[in-house]
Amino acid sequence: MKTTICAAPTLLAAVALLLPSSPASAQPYDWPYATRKSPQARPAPQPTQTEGPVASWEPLRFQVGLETRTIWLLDDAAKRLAGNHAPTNVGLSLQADVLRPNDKLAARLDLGWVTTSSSTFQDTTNLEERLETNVISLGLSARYDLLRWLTPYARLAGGVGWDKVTVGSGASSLHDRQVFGQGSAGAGISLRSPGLRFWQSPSAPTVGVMGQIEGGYALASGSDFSLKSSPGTSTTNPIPTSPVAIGHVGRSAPYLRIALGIAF
Amino acid sequence: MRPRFLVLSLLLVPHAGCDSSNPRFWQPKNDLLPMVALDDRIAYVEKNSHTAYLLDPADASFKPRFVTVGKAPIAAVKRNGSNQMLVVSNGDSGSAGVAPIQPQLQIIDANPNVVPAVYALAGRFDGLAQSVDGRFVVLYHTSSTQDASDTGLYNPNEMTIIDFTQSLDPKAPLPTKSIRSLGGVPARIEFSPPSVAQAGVPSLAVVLSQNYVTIMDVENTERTEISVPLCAQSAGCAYDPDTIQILFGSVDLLDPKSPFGPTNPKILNIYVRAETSKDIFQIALSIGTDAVGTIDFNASLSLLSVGANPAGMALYVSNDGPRLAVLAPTSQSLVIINPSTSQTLRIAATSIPANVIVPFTVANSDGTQRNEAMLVDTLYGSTSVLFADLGVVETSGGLEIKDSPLRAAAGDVWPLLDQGIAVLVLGKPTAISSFTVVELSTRRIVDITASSTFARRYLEARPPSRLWGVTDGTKLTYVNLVARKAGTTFAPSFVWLDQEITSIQALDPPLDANPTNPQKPRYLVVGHNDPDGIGNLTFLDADTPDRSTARTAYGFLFSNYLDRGQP
Repeated sequence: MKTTICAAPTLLAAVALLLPSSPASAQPYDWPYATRKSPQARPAPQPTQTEGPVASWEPLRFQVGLETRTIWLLDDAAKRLAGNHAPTNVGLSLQADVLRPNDKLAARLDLGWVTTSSSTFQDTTNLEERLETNVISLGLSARYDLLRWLTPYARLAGGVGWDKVTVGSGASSLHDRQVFGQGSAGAGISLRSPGLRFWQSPSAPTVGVMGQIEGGYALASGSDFSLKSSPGTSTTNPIPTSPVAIGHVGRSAPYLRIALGIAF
Repeated sequence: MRPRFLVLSLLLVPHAGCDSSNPRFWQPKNDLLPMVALDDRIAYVEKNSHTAYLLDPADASFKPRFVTVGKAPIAAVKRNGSNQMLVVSNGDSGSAGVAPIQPQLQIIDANPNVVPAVYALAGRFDGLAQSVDGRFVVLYHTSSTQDASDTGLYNPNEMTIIDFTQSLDPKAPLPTKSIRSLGGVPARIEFSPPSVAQAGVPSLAVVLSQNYVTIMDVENTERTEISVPLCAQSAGCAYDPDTIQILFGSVDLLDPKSPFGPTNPKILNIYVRAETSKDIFQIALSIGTDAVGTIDFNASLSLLSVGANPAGMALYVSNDGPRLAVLAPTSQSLVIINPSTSQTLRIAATSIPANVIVPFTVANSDGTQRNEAMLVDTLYGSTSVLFADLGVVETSGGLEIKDSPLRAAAGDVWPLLDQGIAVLVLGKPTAISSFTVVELSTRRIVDITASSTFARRYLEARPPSRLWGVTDGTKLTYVNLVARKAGTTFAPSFVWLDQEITSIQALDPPLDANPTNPQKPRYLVVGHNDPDGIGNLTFLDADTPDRSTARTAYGFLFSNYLDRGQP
């Protein structure tokens, strides 16, 4: 059985494009464990020189990033359909702190979309099976800033997803689409870099890099897939074709979620 | 190169392997044996998963029943006279680390409550023949050149004879029997008709090999077979077993006036016609008993001279006993032979080089039966058929010449003697353009012409005697060949289907045990293109085919797909 998941390299390539082209071109900033310099110690800016970026550990309330979600499938039918036991979804997420009662504690809301597409060729049929999965989820996490750059958190999320299964190829293929609900509970840590303020202005945002790694368990509704087809007819009133029940797929499984993004 | 683009390039490398093409594109998709039409359902056997799928057209969900069969199935056929499927599997010879899997014969009943019977086989046979009533099955090696690479040494003349009326041990391999080899291997096996067994003679199987036949008592397999050479291979003759015609005569006592006993055996004549021989081979089997009542066989071979290469042979009973009518197209003659005396009674000239003889009887006004025959030329392009009164031919030598012209030369003949008709196919048998229905007793001829090629023809021999075919790819056309109701004779009807039609098969009336529900329709199974072997059939009511009641089962071989073969 061969599985091809092509989205991950694409996203990694996109991340690579966002990286600084060389260390030499990176702008200097303070490392978190370095002694914080007093703003007064900084030399007065020369009117004739360009203002450089300034590092800061101010809270970064928003995050836009890439997200991967690896699921360790427990259901045999789901493994069969996905082509392996641990498919990885990739997507985008938006996060925002919605409540910060004090300097250490925060409540964060996140909206994410992950997708995966895998195709397999079965030994018995030698036919292509393609599974496309999309999940949109809304999460709420409680965070505690243990260190300036390290924040453990617990997260609850719920959402909706849809699977599209296609067996065969071309006009003779059969397909089905199923919508499912999903809820998850997990915990993880969030890492961040110091924020950089690229120009001196009261409205200038502080921009940093933030990432999360989270493990948990997702409870999802199962689906009974019934393949449907329209076998090569152009008539407006075709002879009815019965759907083909191919089995039940259970989706509840442990997961590992990794997010990396720009925070501000 | 700048480091950023180096990283980007390295990350894009995996995309080279990210196409959707099949990594095993050279391997076949679902590898199905030909469809098996049981009485009220159809069955497929898939080789890779060695699974049989039995689909009941009356099941609205089209969910087939799955039955696991032996590894490497090579043949699946309906068992004659019963609603069962026979599946022969070759198993696996194994390897140093893999245990071998024994070949097997499996009997799968259409009734899901009947547990399939499995019998181990001692050889990897690839041929299966069965008697008309399905009582006997013979498994054999069809050719000495078969792929026996995983078999090692084997005897191509070894076979397994199964009598389903006997209790069979499912654990021990079924016993085998090796027949005498005269230099060939079995190519075809024919069984004696039920009338032979009804006359008190054990059922026989005739094994046809090149230039010889072997006669076996399939009820008593321990009895030594009789091998009859038809000609010496050194003489340069080569009789093709596939073109040999076998006829069984009636069973008669040597002295009809005396009872059966050691001195008065039963005689059974078997007639063998080989196209390149100028004689008919008559094998007279003498079935006698010894003093303790044990059946004993003796055979004698006679040659019945035709004088030319025979192309058609029919057996009929005249007032003076059995007669053999043989056509010799090269000499344009009809030869009447008395097999009791091996005497050629009459040679009548035919106006056409007829090669097919269709015997039938016609009632005289006094209630007696008259033997007649229709003579057809399917080889040399004659555009007429002849009718012969065989009694007149025998007595006077005169062949009534009734020139019944045809629209074109006949390419094939489908006799439906129990329906009293014969269908002459005009044109190439694979794609006919027209055909002629001959009502034998009245010699009435009806021509039916198709406006376009009539392909995928399927003759439903039993009532309602319909000829089905395809015109224009998706137009299912049928013609009633026999007038059941006034005005319905030869009225072509058609049903447009959605997909191109590749096969047509009618099922038997359903065996509905519930008499309160006698309305289950009889189904017509229409096959469509199915390159991936996932199942693509349309079911229609065979008696009243109508598009509005048709249903297509597409992809039904995927049923419970996810529950099978999981990683």
